[in-house]
Amino acid sequence: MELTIKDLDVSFIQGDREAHALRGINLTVGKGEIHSLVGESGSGKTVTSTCIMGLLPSPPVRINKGEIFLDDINLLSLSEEDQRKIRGMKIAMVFQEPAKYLNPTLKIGVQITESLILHLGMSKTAAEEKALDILTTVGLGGGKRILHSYPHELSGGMKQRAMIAIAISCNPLFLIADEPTTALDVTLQEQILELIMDLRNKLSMGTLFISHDLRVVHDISDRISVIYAGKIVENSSKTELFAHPMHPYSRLLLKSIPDAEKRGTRLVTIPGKVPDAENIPPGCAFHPRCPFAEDICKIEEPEMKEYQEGHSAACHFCGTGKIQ
Amino acid sequence: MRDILELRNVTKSFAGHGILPSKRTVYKAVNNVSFTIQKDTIFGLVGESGCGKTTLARSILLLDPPTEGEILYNNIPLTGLSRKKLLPYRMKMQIVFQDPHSALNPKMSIYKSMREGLVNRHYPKARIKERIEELLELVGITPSHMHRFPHEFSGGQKQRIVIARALSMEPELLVLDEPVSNLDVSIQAQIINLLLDLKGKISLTYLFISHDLNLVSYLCDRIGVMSRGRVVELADTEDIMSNPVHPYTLKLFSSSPGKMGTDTGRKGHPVNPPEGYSFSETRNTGKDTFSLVSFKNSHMVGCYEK
Repeated sequence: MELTIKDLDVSFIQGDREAHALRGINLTVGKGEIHSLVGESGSGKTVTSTCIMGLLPSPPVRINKGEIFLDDINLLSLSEEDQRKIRGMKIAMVFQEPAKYLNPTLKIGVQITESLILHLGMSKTAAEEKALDILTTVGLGGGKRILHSYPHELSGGMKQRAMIAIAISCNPLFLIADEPTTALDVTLQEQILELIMDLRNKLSMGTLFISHDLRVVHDISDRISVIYAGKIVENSSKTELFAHPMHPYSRLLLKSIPDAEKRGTRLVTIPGKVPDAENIPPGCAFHPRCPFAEDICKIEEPEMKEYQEGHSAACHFCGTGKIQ
Repeated sequence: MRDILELRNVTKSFAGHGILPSKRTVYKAVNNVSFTIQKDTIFGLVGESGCGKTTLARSILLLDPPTEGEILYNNIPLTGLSRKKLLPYRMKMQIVFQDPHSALNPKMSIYKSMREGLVNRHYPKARIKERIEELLELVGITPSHMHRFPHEFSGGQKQRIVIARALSMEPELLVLDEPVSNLDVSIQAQIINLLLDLKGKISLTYLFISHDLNLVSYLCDRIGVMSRGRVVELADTEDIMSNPVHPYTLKLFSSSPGKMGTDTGRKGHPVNPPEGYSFSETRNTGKDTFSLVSFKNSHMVGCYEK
């Protein structure tokens, strides 16, 4: 299934204060594609994912405009009832901290079979058998022992696998993975990334992979979108982005990664921080931190333009040779 | 060069399950670790979570004194000293924790948080404010913000404040326990640059604990790889990067994300252990046959006697 986000614009309202979290997101994730959304914290990654899942409470959230399509279903126009049928059944989500999102008082088995019984109408025994299957798929082949374990009895990596098992239990067509490896070690991280790629190959799920770390994204994605202050500033295939990053922000993000090759030199940093969603600078939102900014950046917001096939960026000076 | 810190066979064990003393199991979180850190260098300690990195750091600072072994600071043994005699050394060794959000008291303004330590070490009262301003300036926080509370700062700024607080004791050794792993990549770079700048301004030695090999190989002069409470490889950064020996080190290197084509040589090939040794315990003699053996000059690798 294909997921398309069109011009999504979302605000958080509190009294007369308005935080403009998403300012027109456009994104397409094709069937069987792993699409990564990369940005610093506070840039709107998680708002995007929870908005797709319909998990944002309104109020305080106001969807100003935009549409989200899963093939031809408009997710934003669905009733709560219909949304619930899609959530978990067609779109599933894996969260950042497995320890936080698993219910500590329920056995893993109960948490997996719950959605099977609810969505697929399975009997308890059938659901348990299916649950064992799924656990093997995600590499938790410990048999019934895992089903009867509580979350605290599992290690961090096992918990994340259990989370993924819950997510894929109803054979979803689309998976959202919101920083699924941030809380894990490098070796576990590699295993979870491999698992996600494996599942994509087996189940041909489209995947939206959210991360703040370009290195993680490098190993897993087909396409990458870089998000800054609620707007996508660059969208390209993985190889293109790493070989020829266009937007100054993506370039700086790539340069700030420490590496043995850079020993003895200072790391490139991006001065300042992501603007507050309540107070986004006019013009290009990145201009206060951009080393290439000129007067036009302060006034006019650059449009997303395609510079090469499948590689677009939103910057006034892309393709002019000014950004070195 | 002078050794600032020396660890001799440091072991930290915890009691495991069992009520009866005879049946109680002992769990060694840190097992027979020895290494030295030279003055004005950066020593990196790498390993997965649960391998004992943090336990070792706490043992070094004598927050949780080691069960066995010795810790020498400037050739003076610290283990066995009374609390009172330990105090001056405590000041010389400071720690920066992983999570800046929980390292600062949310109910105290950063001025108060920083003042505590200075008052405790009887810093002249009249100069305290001046000193705090100086320290904040040093880490790049506007001194006029010192009456603000922790929640008014971002994660990166909080980590700067925590570093400033650690520096207020004028330490010689700074233990950095995953100081950037909770921060965004761009902010990480700022903190790392700050650490390097500070080292240029003040004479400082770092013990840098991390699970991020990219970062450690960028920053550190010498690296110790830890696995299951043991140091399995100990070498200068260049040596370990160009020629990792222990299978666990190889595994860590190959699973480090973002091998962007620049470091093809880093994957490495399996290397045979030194003559007469093996990487895994071949027979159970009931005796601990694990030791660090020289592979090449100062490049040490941990293996079992055959």
